[in-house]
Amino acid sequence: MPKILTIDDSKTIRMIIQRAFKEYDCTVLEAANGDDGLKAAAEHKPDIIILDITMPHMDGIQMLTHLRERGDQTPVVMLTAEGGATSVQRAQGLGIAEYIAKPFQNEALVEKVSKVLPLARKAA
Amino acid sequence: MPPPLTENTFKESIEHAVQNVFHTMLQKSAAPVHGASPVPTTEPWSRPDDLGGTIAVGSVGFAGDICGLVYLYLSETLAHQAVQGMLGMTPDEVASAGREVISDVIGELTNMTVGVFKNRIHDLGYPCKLTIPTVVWGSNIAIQPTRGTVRRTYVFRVDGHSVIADLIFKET
Repeated sequence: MPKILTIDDSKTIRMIIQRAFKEYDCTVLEAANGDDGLKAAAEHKPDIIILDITMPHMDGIQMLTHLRERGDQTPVVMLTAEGGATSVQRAQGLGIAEYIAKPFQNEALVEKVSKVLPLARKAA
Repeated sequence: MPPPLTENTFKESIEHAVQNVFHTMLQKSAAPVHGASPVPTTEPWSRPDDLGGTIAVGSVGFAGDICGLVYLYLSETLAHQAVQGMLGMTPDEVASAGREVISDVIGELTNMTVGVFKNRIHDLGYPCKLTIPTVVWGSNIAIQPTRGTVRRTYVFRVDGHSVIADLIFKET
């Protein structure tokens, strides 16, 4: 079953993402900051990571930099309120697959993730 | 040198931000209150009657070529409705979820609002980064900016409730 790892310090966003994908055949794993996200990525080997930028301890850009430095090329979708042109360019320079600026609709998130990781709906 | 930020830039940017976030995340319209366009001031603003009880105040800052804070004020009732809208909960589920969940939703709503506002300012030539959201609850809360700041206050109506966006900038 495909695994999605969401890394966001906001429990609200993690709950929205769980809800957005609940009708799809996939597992959504959670981490609340970049440190925990790196550990979760190493342990669970997700198929895709949905990553915030502004987080305590280690932000999303630092986390993505560490991830790539250790050779992990897991596709990353940035989902963040930090949508200024400079931040977008920095994230793109680190090889992200997609970028979504908050606020967002669940359908848009599922569509962006599905471009990278085809998802099947759960059988009724 | 980037163009100077005008009163119209602040007004349009915050109105766009509040309306975009409330529409996208809560499917609610946020109407700017006519005649509430601010005059920059350091004085506290007068509180609408419906924000007289317990309120939630979310705040997110931005720092860089321009520095400031935005406070978002919501009544407790509207805060509960925001949780229902964002997390798909019933009123009973919101009540049993507790203050921590409601605060997290208000923090994220503020984060998104300030993010949209800040990104416009950023792209006009004033790069800056967002801070982590905070939320406080209480009644009779008054936030007094320190010296060297300029305050702009904007009022919106959402489903019959007042929402205040209070912008406090460090003077440059």
